[in-house]
Amino acid sequence: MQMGAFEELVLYIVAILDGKAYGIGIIGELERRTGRPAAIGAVQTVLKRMEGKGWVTSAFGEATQARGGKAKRYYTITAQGRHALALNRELRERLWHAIPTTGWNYEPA
Amino acid sequence: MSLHDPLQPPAWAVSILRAACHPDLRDEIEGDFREQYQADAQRYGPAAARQRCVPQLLSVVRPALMFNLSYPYPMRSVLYFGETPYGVLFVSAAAVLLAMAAVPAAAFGESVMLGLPMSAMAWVMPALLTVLGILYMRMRTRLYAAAISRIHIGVTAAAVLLLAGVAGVAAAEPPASFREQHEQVGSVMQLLVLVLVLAQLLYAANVLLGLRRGGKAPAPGNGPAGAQG
Repeated sequence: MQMGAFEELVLYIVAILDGKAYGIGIIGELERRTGRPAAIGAVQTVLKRMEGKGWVTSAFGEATQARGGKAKRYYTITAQGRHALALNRELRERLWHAIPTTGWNYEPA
Repeated sequence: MSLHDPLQPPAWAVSILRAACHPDLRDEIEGDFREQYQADAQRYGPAAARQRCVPQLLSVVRPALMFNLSYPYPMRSVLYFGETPYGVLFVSAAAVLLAMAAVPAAAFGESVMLGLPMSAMAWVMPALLTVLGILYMRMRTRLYAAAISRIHIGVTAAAVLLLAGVAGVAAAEPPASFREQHEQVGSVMQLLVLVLVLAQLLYAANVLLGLRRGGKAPAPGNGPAGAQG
């Protein structure tokens, strides 16, 4: 199954947060670690999509006053998700090592 | 004195968000929205938080969250025309509806287009665009070619907007040149209708070819990397 660039980033963040990943928590961690801002709709869509693919599971957690009494939904990476991340990493490594070194260090005058 | 809590998002924004989201996702997304708003209000101030909440609000207007579609579904907002070109049809429908609403029904008089009174056409045209948009959303993975879809959408939206524009101007306050060149205006409108009909045949061909030979159009969301998945 194909993994998009944004999907990969969110899956990494879900794995890093280790059971404490929910919408706003993911957005904050993503911005902190990558400097990339993300919108609620984009992250929620990716999470739902990854849940459909079986890469993450979710469960409702506590409600807070800041959320207007609405419960958080916590996401956890599954074994399938970890496998997908590992495959993606392997693919990137292979592509990195396939870059010819000739001209790699070329600097225009 | 305002009773509005500066750390809470405006009621209109929450109402729009709740209306846009599927009931199963509503509470979770509203919770995120409120939490983000509060964080923004504390960090940047209430005025900045109100500004920052608008893009957040727009970001949830996407088919996957509106209809809680199961995978695979389009990743982009329906307003990202590059990935979801059928969004053009919805925007055009809204534009025609607004334009026609501005023209009083009486202004159309006895005018008839395609056998229907012009006042009825004001509803038929946006309805046609909306139905086409929904058809695209449901059948996007079965269409034969994305290029044909884009041509069809572009031609359909342009033809309907032009038709609505000509009809609206003619019905509201026809300039002298319009009245003098009545026949030419009629011919232009007939030509636009013909283009519209041909475009629909193109769509039908796209669907039929897709069903016969298998869809080749890339599923939205598998396009260029970025905010896709």
